[in-house]
Amino acid sequence: MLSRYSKILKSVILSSLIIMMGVGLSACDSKPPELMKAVKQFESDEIRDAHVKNMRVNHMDELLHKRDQTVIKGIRTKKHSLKACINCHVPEQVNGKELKHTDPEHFCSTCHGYVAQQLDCFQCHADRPNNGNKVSNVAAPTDSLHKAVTESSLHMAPEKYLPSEVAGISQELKSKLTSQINTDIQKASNQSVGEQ
Amino acid sequence: MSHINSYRRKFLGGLAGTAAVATVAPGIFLREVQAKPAEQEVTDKVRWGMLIDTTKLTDGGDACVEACKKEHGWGNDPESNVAQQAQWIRKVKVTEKLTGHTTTLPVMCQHCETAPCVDVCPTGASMKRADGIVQVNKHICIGCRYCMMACPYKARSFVHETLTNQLPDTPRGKGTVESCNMCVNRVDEGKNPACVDAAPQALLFGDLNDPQSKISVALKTYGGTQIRADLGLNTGVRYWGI
Repeated sequence: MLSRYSKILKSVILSSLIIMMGVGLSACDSKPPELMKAVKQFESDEIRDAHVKNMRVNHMDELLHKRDQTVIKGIRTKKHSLKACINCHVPEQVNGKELKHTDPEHFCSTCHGYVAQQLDCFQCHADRPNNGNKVSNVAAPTDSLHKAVTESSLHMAPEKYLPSEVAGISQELKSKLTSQINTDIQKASNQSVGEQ
Repeated sequence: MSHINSYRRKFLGGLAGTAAVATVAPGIFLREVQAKPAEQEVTDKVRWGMLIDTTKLTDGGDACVEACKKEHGWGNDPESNVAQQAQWIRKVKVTEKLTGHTTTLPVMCQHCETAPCVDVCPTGASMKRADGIVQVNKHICIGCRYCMMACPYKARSFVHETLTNQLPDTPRGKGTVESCNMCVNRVDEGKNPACVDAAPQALLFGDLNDPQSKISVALKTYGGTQIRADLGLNTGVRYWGI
């Protein structure tokens, strides 16, 4: 008797559980948010789909792997580099406005906001191509920079910046010193070649 | 040759020597740095180094500091006080007490072979790349600032405030330590560091392991001074005229 009741009870519980799961799953049916279009055009749809499928699941691992490769080993290929991702996925401007990671339309922020996952990369990294610093807008060299470059021939004329009693050595002595130094350099470089 | 004359000769020789080493034709600067393929790891076959001739820095290093700010985007931290502000490279003025003779030199990370900052780091964030460049891996830096205390050159800074609009090639962020990284991003592309391009008449960048590189020849011929050579750190940055 008891076993019959328990069997009925079990089946009732099970069936109600299944119904509840079904209801729950149907509630999860909403579509993932619409993402911005990327710039890059893939050679074929299969390659693109494989990229999308892989990156949806693995982008965090790929980025983590690549960051160590880059910082520690100096490998700077574009594949899985955050900079390359941003350059392709985030446009420079949207409707005349720069898109920052704090905007929900930003490629990364759309999903991260949707799943309430914190996005830490952009505390340090640029969140848009060139981060709003357009190459063409880079200011002209500062005065000191300009001066340093234009005056770079100073070392050819020591009398210009050396005290006169030091610089005012005779032409003869100067040329003698210069030739002496040139032979020294020649000797040193010959020696180093010989050592190899 | 008296002591003074030999000093004078060495001094002038140094000047003329770099003229011969660094100048091929006006406006053309030989590139020491070869670009490595992007997929290739850095190796210890090269050791990047820098030679700074302070006697030829007409502005004492202002151009270098400006170029560094521009390349890496530091120098805009209004919330921090002067002692806290980031300083990847700075001008240091040294005056000899007896003679009153002053020298101005740019000082940044000296890229030591045995770097104290790497020794003390508890997480391995302060690191030396195989090619001798010392830098901070900010991904694993916890901001403890041990390295700042260990560095005898005061080369490191801590970011005290939230930053925005960082440059793509130089990620910087609050809570991490940072310093000169010899422009790793540029070096990996085969370019000179920004400060070297800003003052090519006074700075020379190259491979210290290659005996034929200009920097090695110049150092072999005329020597080069390390700051605090007594510490035996074998720095990658050497000076003339200090």
